[in-house]
Amino acid sequence: MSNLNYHKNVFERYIERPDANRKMKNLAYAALAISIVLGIIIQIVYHPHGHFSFENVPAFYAIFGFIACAMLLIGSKWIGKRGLMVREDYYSKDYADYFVKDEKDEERIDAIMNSVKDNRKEVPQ
Amino acid sequence: MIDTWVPPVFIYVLGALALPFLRGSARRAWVLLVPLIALADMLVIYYGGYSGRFWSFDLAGFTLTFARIDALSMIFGFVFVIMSFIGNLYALHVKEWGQHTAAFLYAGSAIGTVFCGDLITLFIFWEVMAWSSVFLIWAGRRRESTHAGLRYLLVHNLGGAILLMGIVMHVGGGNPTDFGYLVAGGLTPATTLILIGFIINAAVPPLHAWLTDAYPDASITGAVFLSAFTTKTAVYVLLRGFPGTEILIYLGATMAIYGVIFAVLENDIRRLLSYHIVSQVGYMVCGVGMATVIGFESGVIELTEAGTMTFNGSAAHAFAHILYKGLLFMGAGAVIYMTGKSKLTELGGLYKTMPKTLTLYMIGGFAISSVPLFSGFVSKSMIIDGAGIGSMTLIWVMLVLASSGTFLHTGLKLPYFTFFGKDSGIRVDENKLPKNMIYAMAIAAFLCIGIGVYPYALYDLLPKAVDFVPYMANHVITEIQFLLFTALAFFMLLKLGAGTPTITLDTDWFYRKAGNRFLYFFNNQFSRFNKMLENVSMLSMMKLLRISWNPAVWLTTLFDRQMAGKYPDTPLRLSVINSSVVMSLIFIVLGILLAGGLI
Repeated sequence: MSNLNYHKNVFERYIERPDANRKMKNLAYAALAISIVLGIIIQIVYHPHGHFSFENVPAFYAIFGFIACAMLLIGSKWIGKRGLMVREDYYSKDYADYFVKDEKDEERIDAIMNSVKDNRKEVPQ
Repeated sequence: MIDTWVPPVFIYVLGALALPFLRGSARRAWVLLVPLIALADMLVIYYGGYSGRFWSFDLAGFTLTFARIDALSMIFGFVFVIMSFIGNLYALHVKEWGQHTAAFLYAGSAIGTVFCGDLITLFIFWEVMAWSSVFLIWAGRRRESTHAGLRYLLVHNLGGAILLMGIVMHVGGGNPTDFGYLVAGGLTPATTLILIGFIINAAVPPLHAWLTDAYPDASITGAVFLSAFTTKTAVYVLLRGFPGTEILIYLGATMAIYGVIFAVLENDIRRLLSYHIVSQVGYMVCGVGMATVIGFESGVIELTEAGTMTFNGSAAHAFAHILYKGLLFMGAGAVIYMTGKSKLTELGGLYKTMPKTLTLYMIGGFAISSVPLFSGFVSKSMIIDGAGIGSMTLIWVMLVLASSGTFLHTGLKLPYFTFFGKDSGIRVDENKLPKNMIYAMAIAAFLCIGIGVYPYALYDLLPKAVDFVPYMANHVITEIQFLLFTALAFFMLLKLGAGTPTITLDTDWFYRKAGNRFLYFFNNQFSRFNKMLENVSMLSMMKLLRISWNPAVWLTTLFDRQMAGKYPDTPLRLSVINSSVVMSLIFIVLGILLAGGLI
């Protein structure tokens, strides 16, 4: 920004630092690891009993979340490419000309309006 | 029995009637005051400890009840009143009085539906809700809005007609017009029709396309109201009339998945959010289905343990959903208001100029994704937990899978490609965003966090006693694990998540494209065939006519032509007299044969 008075907002200050990308990546990986470790610790200490036996697999939710998200992204795009995704004018191209003003009509309306105006002009004279 | 309070719907109707006569700051004050009066009214009802049926009128042999007060109607009433205040605050800068009036009627009729005690009042408010909301779509003032609004109205008219058919059959079958638990004796044809009428409003696939078709074309402020009322009113009537109906479990779980699958393919931010309404309402519908009823006495239903959990969960999730979905639509609306663009492919890098909107939007995003300390966490887990208690493995897996998709789109894809991602070069001045929009978003965000931090405020309102503790160490950590790894998969497959400049075909194809093609076929191919048949029949008729005028002449000329072809040099003519003799002979023979045959 060339404007000297421009104050960077909080997001810009953090994201636009030179090493931000690397730092954020490290932070993210650390968070992933910590969540797994904490999960396993809680499982050992508290022995929570889930509703299903497969919930007791270590890091079950992490695996499930990862697979679910990957499946959704890949699967949906796969379905979409098979005919569901179409050009943006798919619907609008059909009715595009329904609402376009017909030039002939315009001319005719203009002619009528002009004649009306002329008549009006004539009346006071 | 009439008391010191009035049904909140009357306040809204009065508000709508007075609105066109007010101008300027008086109108702005009125727009905010009416929901506040309604809220005060609700508090009088709540703290007055009222319960039962009030404000009943006898009309034409039916009893119309405008206020049936119990815990279920109160929780929906509260959230509708709160949301109508937030929505009106968000729309405060709008100059057209039509939009405010439509919003008042829409919110009022939704609240009327929630508080009504009989099927006839229900139907009246149901219809008012359909046609008052369509003005909010038309207020989008684009060609698409006009078209989408008409389609919306047609679908809702169909739904209303089916509902009315069901009600007429139900009442005609000797049942009272009271609206309570309708399926005590299983589904009858009448209650099935009522159910279909309800689930059209709940946007259950394949009858959901009106929602994702119309909401993105509504006006910026109108979409906020639309996202709150129609589908959640449907959830309320399902909770009231059809708890424990088994088909709703499967429909709901399918809805939850369906919404997130289609949201992957979407490019328009408000359409993406609309698909998430379908997905989130799926949780509630599923919860309604899982609320197995084991006893029904004097109008009060008794539920199993899992059933109580999901019944409460559906009501709680509807409460939380209205607030965070409103917040998300407000955030998306603010982006559209500032940039004029609504497509992921055209947006990007807005974090530089719209930090407030980003922050408030993300609160909504975290709430819908059920991040701990946000409202979705305390409500959605009740439904999923209920599926676990009922040991429905498949349903549980589907619901958890869908919640991964929810975070993927609303918490990651939409904000990433709108506010971060590839910089689109759009620079806007967020200070030009009307302040009331920011305040409305802030109130909604505050409530989202408030419910998440102190869920017992919400749990106290729930219709059944709550036996659920959301903040267990294991639950919190598994949820965080789940969301973090969803995020990991998203960033690893970032290219697949990006929006593409396409639109997605949905079941509205059948009445938008197939219907058009049907008409086109009838206007062209079929009418051409019709014309051909007409021509053939007319021509053959003319020919027959010509023969029957004077068969002799026809025969003579035919004979002449034949002869002239064979013997071109010979001027030969069959005399008229001869031929007429031959003709009469033929006819006599034919006549005799015919007479013989007849005899």
